[in-house]
Amino acid sequence: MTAIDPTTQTDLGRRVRRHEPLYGEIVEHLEDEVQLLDDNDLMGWYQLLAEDVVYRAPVVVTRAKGERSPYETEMAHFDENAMTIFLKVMRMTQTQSAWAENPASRTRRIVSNVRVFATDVADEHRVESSILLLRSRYDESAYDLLSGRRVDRLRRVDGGFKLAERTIYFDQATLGVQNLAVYL
Amino acid sequence: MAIDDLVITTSPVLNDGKTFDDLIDVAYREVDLRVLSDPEIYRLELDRLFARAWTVLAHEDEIPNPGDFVLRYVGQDEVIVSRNADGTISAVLNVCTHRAAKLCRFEAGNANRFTCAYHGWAFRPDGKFLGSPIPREKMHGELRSKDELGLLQARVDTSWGMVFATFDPEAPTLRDYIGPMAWYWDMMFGRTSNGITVLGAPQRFTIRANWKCAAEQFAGDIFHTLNLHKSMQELELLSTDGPVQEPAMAGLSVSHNGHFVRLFDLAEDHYINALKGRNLKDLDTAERLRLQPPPGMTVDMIDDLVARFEPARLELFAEKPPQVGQLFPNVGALAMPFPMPDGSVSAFFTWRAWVPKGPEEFELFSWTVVERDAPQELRDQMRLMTAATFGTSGFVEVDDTDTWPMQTKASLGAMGRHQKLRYQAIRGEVKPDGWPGPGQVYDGFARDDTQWEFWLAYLKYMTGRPW
Repeated sequence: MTAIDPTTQTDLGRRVRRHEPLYGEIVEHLEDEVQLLDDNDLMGWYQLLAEDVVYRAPVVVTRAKGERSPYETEMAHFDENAMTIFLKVMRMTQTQSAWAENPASRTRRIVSNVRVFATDVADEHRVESSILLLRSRYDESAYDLLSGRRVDRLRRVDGGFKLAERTIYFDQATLGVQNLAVYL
Repeated sequence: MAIDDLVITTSPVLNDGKTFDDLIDVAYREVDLRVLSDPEIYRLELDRLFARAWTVLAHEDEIPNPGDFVLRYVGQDEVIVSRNADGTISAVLNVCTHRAAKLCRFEAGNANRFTCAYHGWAFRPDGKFLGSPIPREKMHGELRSKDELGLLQARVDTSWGMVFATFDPEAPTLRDYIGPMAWYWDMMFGRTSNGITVLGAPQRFTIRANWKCAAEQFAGDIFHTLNLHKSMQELELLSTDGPVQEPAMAGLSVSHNGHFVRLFDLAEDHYINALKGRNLKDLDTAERLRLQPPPGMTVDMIDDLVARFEPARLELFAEKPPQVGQLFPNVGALAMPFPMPDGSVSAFFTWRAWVPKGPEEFELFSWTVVERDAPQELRDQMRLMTAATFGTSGFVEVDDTDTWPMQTKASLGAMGRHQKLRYQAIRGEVKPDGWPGPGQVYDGFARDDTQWEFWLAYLKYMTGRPW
């Protein structure tokens, strides 16, 4: 379990160009995925995850330029597999007292700067995207804001895609939010 | 000059003529809500409480080699925590003694000296002033000796590998500060000869709430687990008898000077059923511990455990282990089992600090903790389960971090600030016959007693008589 560091990744596979049909398919998949999350359809979102999904957001440490990666290898804000995600999805959807999201936040996820690369595995692509999450709770006018770079491993399954791995590289060393009770 | 100016042995009078004895009503066990956001009170807390109490900064494994450092906070004061050449650890104020620039700008790294980027004054990691550039211009003058120009040093000590600091030269030693609580905390974090380690730098995130919202809760709020965390019961994680069963919360709480620890009764356990159906009385303690090792341990560690503890505490490991606690004022810890869907038992272990960032905001530092001896598989499992339950995304703590800001916001109103935090569910000290451990003991459901003792300890600091 070594966190990929997007700032040092150099051995990328073949770039899937914007004009290729696959690129459009993948972008549409990412758009459909965030729509499910924005709509708070967690069960629907869970269906897009591979059984062996690895979902992480490493802790960030501000270091001197040129030093080792700012991303911790073991410590993470999100550190999940299908079991822990399922547990959380069950809690959010099947119980009445998951108070962190009851009432639910209003959320908007903006996904952009999508880059797609082939990997050593024929049916899997490395998909990078920038994400901006805006989350509004209660009647507060201030947003919870989170930005980061997502590096996904997207697997072609039965004509669709499943998320096999997602690493979110947050831009903040200290997250400016009270929790991550929502996914991005 | 360190804390001397701040050591005030009288009770301060607030701007409106009130004193802390007015705000903390001992007869009715009520606290004025204004303590959660009053800027005047917050300033006094930084001086009278955070500069004096021992608070946690890091684990020593975060800085294993000479020159390794991390930046952390004592109250709102940023300190450089360094491993010195001789292996000792120092913590010095990260404020250049020249013109107060942030001396070290990196949160972690390795350095044998820190040179200020602003004007170039240089210091050793232990704070000693080495000199200023361009000696012939006498940049640091001759009015102050070089000894006087060193960085302000905190007193540093470690327990369970965790690095603590205080700026108060009058504070007792860390060992005396923790006092009798060590008897219990050793059962969470001192179980093996090799001790505990952390999985790296802590999670850090921001909660728009006063730090005491977390601290008073971690001082023993058992009641909230039944309501705020009701989803655990709905998911049947707390109760083995179905979702409607009210958990008995059998156990025992202990407090001392505002410190807290909660022991959970495994015989009436709502967390583990691995021992269900076994006649425990037929097994000796070591056998029981091998059958179901304490959370976060493997069978291989039991010999070490048995050698390190006397029979009374070994018995407690098998029947009533400590699993959650707080060291006054802002250092929480959890050492809990987690029942996995496949029937096995995993664990979540964490140390955390509620670091104040102003009256209405604190930062939560959350470390994941494992035994240094933990095999990779256990280490990975605890990494996952700790993140899943507590910290930024943990499905237990997310409900807390959404609630604490509400209390703080409530305290801002003209009416709200005069409302009360109430601690009137009184149990009184109940020490079981022959109880082997120290401290003030509350058998059974501890109600509000240990939380109230948090406020009594707080009152001591705020009125200038912590020791």
